[in-house]
Amino acid sequence: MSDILVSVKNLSINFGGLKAVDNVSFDIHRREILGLLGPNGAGKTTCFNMISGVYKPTSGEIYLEGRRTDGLPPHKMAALGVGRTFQVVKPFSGLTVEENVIVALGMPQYNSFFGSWASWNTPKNRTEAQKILETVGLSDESATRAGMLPLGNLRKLEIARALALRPRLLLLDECFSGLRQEEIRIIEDLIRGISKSGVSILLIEHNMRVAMGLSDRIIVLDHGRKLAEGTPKEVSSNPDVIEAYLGRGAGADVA
Amino acid sequence: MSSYVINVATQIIIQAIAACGLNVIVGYAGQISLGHAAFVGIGAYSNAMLTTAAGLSFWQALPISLVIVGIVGFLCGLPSLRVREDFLAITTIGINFIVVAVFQYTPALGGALGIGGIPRVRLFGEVLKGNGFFALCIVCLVIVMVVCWFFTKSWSGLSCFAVREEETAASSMGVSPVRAKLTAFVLGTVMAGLSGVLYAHYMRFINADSFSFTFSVTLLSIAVAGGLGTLWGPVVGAVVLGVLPEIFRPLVDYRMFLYAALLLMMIRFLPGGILGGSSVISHKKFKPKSGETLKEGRRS
Amino acid sequence: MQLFLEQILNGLAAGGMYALITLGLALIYGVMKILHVAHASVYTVGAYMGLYLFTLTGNIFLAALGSMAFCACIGVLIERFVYYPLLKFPPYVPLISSIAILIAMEELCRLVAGPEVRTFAAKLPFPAVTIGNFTISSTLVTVYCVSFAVFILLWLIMTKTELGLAMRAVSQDMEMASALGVNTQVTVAVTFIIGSSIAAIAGILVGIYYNQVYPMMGEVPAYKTLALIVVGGMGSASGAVVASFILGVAETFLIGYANIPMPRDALAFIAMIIILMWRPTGLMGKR
Repeated sequence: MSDILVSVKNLSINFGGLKAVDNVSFDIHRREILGLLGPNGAGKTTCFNMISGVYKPTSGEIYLEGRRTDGLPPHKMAALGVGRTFQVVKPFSGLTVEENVIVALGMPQYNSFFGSWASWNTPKNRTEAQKILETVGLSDESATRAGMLPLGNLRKLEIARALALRPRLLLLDECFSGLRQEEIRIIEDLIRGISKSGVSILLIEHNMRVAMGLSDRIIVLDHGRKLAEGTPKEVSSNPDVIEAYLGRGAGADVA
Repeated sequence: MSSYVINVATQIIIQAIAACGLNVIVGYAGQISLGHAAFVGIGAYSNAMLTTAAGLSFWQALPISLVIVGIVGFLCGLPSLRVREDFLAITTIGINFIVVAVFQYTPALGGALGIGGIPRVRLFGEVLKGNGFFALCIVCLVIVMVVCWFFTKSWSGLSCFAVREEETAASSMGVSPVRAKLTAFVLGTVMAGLSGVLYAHYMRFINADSFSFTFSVTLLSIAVAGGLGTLWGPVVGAVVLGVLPEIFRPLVDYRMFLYAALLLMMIRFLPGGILGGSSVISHKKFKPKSGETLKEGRRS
Repeated sequence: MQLFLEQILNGLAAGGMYALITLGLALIYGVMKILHVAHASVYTVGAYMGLYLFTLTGNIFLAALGSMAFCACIGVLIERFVYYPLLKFPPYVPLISSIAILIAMEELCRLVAGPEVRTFAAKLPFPAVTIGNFTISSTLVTVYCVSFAVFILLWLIMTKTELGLAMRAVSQDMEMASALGVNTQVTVAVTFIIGSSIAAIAGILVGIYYNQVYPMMGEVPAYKTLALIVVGGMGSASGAVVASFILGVAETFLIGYANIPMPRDALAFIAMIIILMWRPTGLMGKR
């Protein structure tokens, strides 16, 4: 079994004349945390959206364990083991926290004719949901309506729901944004724990310290193109990267 | 019970059944349907034709009519549910107008005169009328409500709730939004069809006017007034909005105005309906941000 | 040939009048994302108010201005007291409230003015135009001139003024516009003022053209105009105008020539569904 879980080759997408992502290629290895960085508008979330099936690329291919997946819709990607969180949290506000997680637990049932009529409100499902909520630290809130939660807990809920899919690949889109220091630390530990359990993680993050600290490797995008790839140390001393973030001239100063 | 009361009660129950179906579509799955009356009509016309022209009994025609409504519902739902929310409202209005036009202008369906002489329902040789027919309607309502209750307990129902709350998130968790919406739509329209079948055998005469867009609005008002997404909402709504016009009947001339004014007050101050209060599932302002709609990227 | 020309002219007039009603609807939808079905009742009230003021003053211009002012007030009141508080709820909530307002206002017209059909015989300021041995009636000329004037005026407002810019910004992204300093509440209110005034003009024109003012006159355009804004591309004012003209001409021809046994309302929706299948975002929609 190869070391590579996901392979993105020459990925491009056009939005009515604007090339949001231009010929990007990279691999995601098993059990690694890969950081996807870049200034605003670089195309990071767009890449996410293509990998998770929300967008269909204009050209290029995406392979998940050797199987081609570009163009598959999001619910099929979920069934293949790709879970994701959203930059703007999208909880099922009217449902309780526990029910939010159970929705994801039902993934195997939704496309089966007989499965879809089975009851979801079973002790087995509730126990499983509780276990996942414990992992993220939300078990106290399991009966709370999701719409009532503060942002920090909502971000945990996003992760919990993605975990309930038993994913092989977890896409985290700016899951630290808007959080306080203590909350950030909690989620950092959570992510490290998830990675140790064997899940590959691709994360987008603006908080440099967090991104550098968590990621095994980093890919930097700028204006839709891949700018640099390497370990956090390599990337942070790359003059092109510094220039992209801080502007022209800054790169030359550091080099 | 006096026959006036039974009459009003029967009509309320028939409307409640249709409203239950609408509640599945709008309340459970969050899809706007402003053409629900069309499916009530299809059920009514179907059973009317089968029991008059084809000579079938009520009980033989009933399952056939329900299947017909289900198929039409599926065919209408398929293209409609792929469009954006606002388009869906208008598309369903269009479906209503077109279906009514078909009823009105197809000679085989009686044209403008409609279909008359629809036979009464016979059960074990006895004719069901008055109290008997009312009991039949109650049984149907109970069956419909039990189906709704089971639906909310099933994965299918849960997937509809998820799609209603956050379609993008739901799809990233394995829920196919089209499948969920379509399931709710077919279930809801079949219930509407059942309501239509009962209506046809109650009135024993039907024509296109009974199933116009105005009736769709009434049904939606019933579902909303009772409380969308609740189990008893459609029943409560049907009772309240069925009794009100009767109370206003003496004020003949002002009836419609008062009804509309009351509906306005109710929706303005109790948008969640009687059973939902003002705590309707709050909905972020509908504004697709570029980069977040499911459909956009797929088009390129 | 004579008949054909007459049909075209009638069709264009019908299109122009549809366009005037639909324009307001499109602008309001663009800015608030609400299907303002009650717009058709503002149109009806506009016709009645115009008739009343004309009977009172004998001057069609005064009547029109007065009616526009009255309808503008009604429009803003609806927006402030009904729609604005309901914005945070799912879209069917304001939609039902709009339908309730439509019914209530139509009934009010009936209760106040009586159910009978009234005539609107106004002395029009525009002369009949004769080209060769073909005469275009004074009514037709009025409809053309007024519609044209409104379109030009609106186009100028939308493209050359700050208000127009604000309206376009709010219709693209309300949050963003607000963050950039646009006073969204005022912009929305002004949109209602403009839309409702145009509806009043439309009501008066239709009343004069068909010489009929009656409480249910709003029922005809109420739902057809919804189909029109979909076909035009939701929120696109120019699309709404184009779609209106197409419908006006098509309806006139189909009724005049082909004698199709289909109700006119269904026609608009059938056309809408066909066009949507070909172009899912409408004729001129962006998304």
